[in-house]
Amino acid sequence: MFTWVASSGHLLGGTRTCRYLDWAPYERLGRDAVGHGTRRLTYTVHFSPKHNPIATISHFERLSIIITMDEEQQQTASTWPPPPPFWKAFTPDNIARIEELRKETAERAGIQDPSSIRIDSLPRELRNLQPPPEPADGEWRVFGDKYGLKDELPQLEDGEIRRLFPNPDERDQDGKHFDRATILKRLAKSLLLNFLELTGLLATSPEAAEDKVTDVRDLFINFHHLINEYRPHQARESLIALMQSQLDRTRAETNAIRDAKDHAERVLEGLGSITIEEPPNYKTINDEDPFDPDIKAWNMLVDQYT
Amino acid sequence: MGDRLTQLQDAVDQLATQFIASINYINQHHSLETLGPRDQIVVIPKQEADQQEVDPHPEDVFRAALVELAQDLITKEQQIELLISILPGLDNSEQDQERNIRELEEELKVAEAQRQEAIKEREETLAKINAVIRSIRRP
Repeated sequence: MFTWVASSGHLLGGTRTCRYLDWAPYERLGRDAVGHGTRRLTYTVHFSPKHNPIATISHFERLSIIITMDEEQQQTASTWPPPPPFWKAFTPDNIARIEELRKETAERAGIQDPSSIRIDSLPRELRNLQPPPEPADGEWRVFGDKYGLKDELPQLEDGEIRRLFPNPDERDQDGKHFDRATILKRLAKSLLLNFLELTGLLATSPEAAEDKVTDVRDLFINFHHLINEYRPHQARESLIALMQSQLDRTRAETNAIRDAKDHAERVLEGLGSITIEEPPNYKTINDEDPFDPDIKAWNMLVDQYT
Repeated sequence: MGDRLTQLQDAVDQLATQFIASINYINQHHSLETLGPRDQIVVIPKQEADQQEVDPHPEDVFRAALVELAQDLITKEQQIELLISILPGLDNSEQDQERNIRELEEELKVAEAQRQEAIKEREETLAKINAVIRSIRRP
């Protein structure tokens, strides 16, 4: 709950829903006259993020107006920041215009992909629609943390860990990873052996165990490093498996559809062959044929009703 | 449960935990020895035993626990080796994978086209059947 003061030019009326917060249940606390006829109203607002996170632009505007006008009162209880001011530049008109400009520039420069093009002299209102260029030094900061453009696995040497396996260039001939498996298995065995040595050292001369602990630590870190190196490979492998299963599924579906279709067509053909036979009920009576089973009945009927 | 690599990583972490647990157990429950002829092992009353650093277990219990811990370590190590040997795509190089992905992409496109075609055929057959059913009248 926090209180702000709004001048009468920006009175809030009715119910306002804003992103992340809801000021529906606000109540007016007090009202007094300040300065030259400017009325000040004090509202109490209950914030609750559970409420509907839908906001309309006018609500945002109104909120930002109030916050800028009453900055002094806002300092202790800051709310969610308003969206950056350049969001107003992203109108459908402007987006269409920059698309047009990009296409033109691409045609002039003879570049195929218009999405990656950079236009140097943009009108002011379109300037915000062009994303800034990539950082030249390949690094940027967010919330005080440094990030690199290239997501690299840190090398073991950077952490002053002894490396216990050969360079990537020297192992894994033909790009296969049998060597990696072998190295991992060796490391696993070394771990057990080193643990055995560690317990032995702890029992006989504990002061020498320090080095052994470092050994075990290095083994573990090496192990994890190798595993993490393998992750991109596994990701591709998972993608292959996923695509394979999708392919199988699509093929199975196609086959099922074809089967159903063939079955339906066979049934249709069957129906066609049935209709060729004359339905028994509409057979004409053949007087010439004395063996026609129906002739007797017909004759009886004829006798009876004529 | 995650992918194989995560399973492997977890198993290695568990091995480390087991190392610590084993050392911790030995450290807490080993038997007490005299270092010189004049040393004496002080028998601590039961109620205070909880606060002591070392709480000696009987010889046979201690031995059995050691054997169990050792066996668990071996089992975990074998699990790790098994997980290593079934890591996905050990015999694929990056080029193999790329080629594979490309091929699968092509095949997927073909299969999808076939599927669409089959769906169309199905619709046609359906229309045919509908026409036949509508045309049936009492002669």
